[in-house]
Amino acid sequence: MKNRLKVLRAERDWSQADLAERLGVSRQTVNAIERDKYDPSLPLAFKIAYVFETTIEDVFHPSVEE
Amino acid sequence: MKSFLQNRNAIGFILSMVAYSVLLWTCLLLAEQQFAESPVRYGLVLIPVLPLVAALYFIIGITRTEDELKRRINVEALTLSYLLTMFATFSLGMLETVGLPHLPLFMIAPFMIGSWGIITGIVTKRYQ
Repeated sequence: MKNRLKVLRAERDWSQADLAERLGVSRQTVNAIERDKYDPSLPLAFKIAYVFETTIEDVFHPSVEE
Repeated sequence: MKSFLQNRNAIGFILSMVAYSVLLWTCLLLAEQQFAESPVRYGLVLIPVLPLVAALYFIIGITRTEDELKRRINVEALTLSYLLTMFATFSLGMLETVGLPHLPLFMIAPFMIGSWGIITGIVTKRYQ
């Protein structure tokens, strides 16, 4: 699954560590999500959308082959 | 989130493994050399089990404080470590039936924990 985490983070001038702290996860997790290496759980996806004050659909979208 | 080394459970786990390593060889030496004919040796060789129980307590604590990705990595690594240990002990057991020297059973726990640590590093690379 693709995501716009890096773009949304850059718009707010947040580091991965900043975002990780806001989400209550490790920086490793944020990095893995941004690199499309890991798809977050539904609760975490909702939390990400909440932190960025947007919808889940605005943050995540299925990759082309899915 | 706190780094691993700042985590109380991580420090407890490391100290438990250090205690296990020290007590293992100390108690074995004492049992063989000082108490070879005494029933005390039975209790003495069981002492290293105590820090292993403590290590298990701290491992559970670590797992409960980890986020979802680290928990997934932990489960994958533990599963692979378990399978590796199973295959290794089975293979060694079969080899013992045809003459390979017997390896002491207490080596299984450190093998499993050591392989878990190494495999955790390998599995973590998949998510980087």
